[in-house]
Amino acid sequence: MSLASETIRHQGSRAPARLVAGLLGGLLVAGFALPFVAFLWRAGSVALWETLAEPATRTAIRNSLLTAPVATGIATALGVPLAYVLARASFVGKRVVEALVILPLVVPPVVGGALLLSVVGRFTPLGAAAASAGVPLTDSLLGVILAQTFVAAPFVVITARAGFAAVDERLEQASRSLGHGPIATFTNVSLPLARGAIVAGIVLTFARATGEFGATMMVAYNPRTMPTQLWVAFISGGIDAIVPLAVALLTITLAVLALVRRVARVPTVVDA
Amino acid sequence: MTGVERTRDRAVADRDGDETPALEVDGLSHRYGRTQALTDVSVAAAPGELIALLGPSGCGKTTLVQAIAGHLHPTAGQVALHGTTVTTVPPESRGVGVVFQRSTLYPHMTVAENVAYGLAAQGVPDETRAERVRRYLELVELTHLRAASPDALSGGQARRVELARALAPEPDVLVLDEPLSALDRRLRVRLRDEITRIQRTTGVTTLFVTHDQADAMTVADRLVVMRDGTVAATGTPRALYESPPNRFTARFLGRSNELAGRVVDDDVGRALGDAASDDELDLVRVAVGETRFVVPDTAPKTDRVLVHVRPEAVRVAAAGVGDDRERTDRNGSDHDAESGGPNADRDATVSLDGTVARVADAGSRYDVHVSLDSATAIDEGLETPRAVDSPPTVTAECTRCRLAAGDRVRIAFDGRDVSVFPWSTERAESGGAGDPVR
Repeated sequence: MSLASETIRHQGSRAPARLVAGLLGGLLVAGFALPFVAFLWRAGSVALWETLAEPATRTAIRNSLLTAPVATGIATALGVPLAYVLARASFVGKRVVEALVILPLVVPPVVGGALLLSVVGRFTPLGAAAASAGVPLTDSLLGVILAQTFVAAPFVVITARAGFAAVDERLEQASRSLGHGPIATFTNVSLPLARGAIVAGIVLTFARATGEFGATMMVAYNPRTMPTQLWVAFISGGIDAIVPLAVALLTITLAVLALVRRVARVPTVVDA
Repeated sequence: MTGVERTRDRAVADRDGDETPALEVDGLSHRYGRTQALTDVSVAAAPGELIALLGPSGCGKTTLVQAIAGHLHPTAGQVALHGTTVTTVPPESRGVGVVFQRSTLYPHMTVAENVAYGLAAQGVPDETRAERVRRYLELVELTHLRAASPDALSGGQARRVELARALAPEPDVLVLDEPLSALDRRLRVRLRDEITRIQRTTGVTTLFVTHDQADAMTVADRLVVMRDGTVAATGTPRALYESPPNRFTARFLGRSNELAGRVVDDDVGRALGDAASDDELDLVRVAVGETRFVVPDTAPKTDRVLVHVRPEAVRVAAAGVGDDRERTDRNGSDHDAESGGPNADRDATVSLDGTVARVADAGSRYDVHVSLDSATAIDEGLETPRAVDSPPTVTAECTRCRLAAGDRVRIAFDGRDVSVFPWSTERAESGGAGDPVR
């Protein structure tokens, strides 16, 4: 009897709690959905294709699709080995390295851009040397890539690191004992087994690099990428002016997120 | 399977010739930060030998395995394979095959690809490789699963594939680190037998690491017992079981009764003078109660000793029945011990009275737990020993006795079945006679 009443009371106390949680959560979801729907509503009333065909817009899309993959490539080539080291090795100063990896995530992108400028800016030794050599590090596609890499690289490092950490170290030891050296073991065992996480990290990095605005604006306001072009369009023409480019950016981002969901048991942007 | 057997022949030939150990660990010590994991461990395995490394968890077995396989740089000491020091050689250049406790099969490869993995590193040509994979899968009787994914294998099958994968590159030494621990009892016994068969077939020098004394004693040519990062005992399973060199080994390898004894003559050999053989020089005369007998000297010179005897060496009979009484009268008296030589003393029979406390039916036998009448009966002239249960309890095995709790009984055992250890007041941590059947 007491058991039955317990159960009933249990359910009785749980139902309102769920209701409250649902209401609060629903409010937030509505907060996400409403602007999205309202914004897309405008898309129907503006000249989508005409705007996308304009030279400035096309250049911005082209620049973005050019720089983001390169930034992602650099972040991957350097970030995956770093992720492996962080997952496996213990060394003095590891905490510092970990903190540095997180830094671009927690620093506002504009500040990140300022940090970069203090190294590669036109009046710094490095920036001046590069500019005189004909490869300016600011206001160039290279500058865009630098800014994108700085801001987006942590995603691949953090995600890949979690992937490597999930691979049992004994599997690598077995590979060594079977006659394969450390590099062969990495490519034969560690890399394939952490593949899902690494791909997810790459995709997230790409999404972040494509949408990067703050640091890019500081380091390379020109040439325009999609986000900087969006800003320019907004200043001159208000919300309606940015709808076409925003839709294009959203499309790319959504395609990328769909890819993440397909490829891996998703560590989403929020997790990272 | 002929090719597999050839290896065995080679190993046997090696053994007949020069006795360079296939594996030699010399004075190995290792510490993790402040924790000392191994202290001066030395182990050697002759070519083709199967050595079991036995010890409780946390005794340093895995650290030793990691050092032998090359996954860890020991703080001190050397590892040598066939006389070549390999202490700083990376694992891929050692020729030490390893099977870990948990499965390390590669989930992104098929069974056959897993077995071939080690051959790829050696640059074995494709056609030889396929042949070798087939041969080793045949050895573990899993040829039909060659195309399967490791995820589809049962626990036992996965173990066998790992064994084939470790053996296929034909390593000098095979290290099995707790290979059976994750399996259930029945499967474990079957796989244990199979490992022994495969080891005999291939003749690969093998180090079998386990915490299970039954596994160790069944498979091993030789046993290395470890405790707290040191080697506690080395020898054949039978020798270590029957005459353990120390209390830890006695208790770890099986059940042990411990009684208090005292040393009445710590140098039997001297009394014999020139007539003494080498063996006899290392004898002590010990008394349990009024019975004196001679045992090999494994205890430092102390007055008191712990007398260890296995339950199966203890006879039990209802008081006043049977011939134990007469034998005790004949051998147990002092004049006999004085007149006879040390060998006569070894036949002495200790016999003690007590009451049955409990009878446990273990199926193939009964375990009779007997409370001895008094501590002073076995330890005259000394204060009541603390380490021995008070009143002391002795476990005897019998197959056909009809005894019940409360019966008056007499237990008896022979001096030859006894080992003596230094007196200790600490309680042993494992393997007491009162423990459930293991």
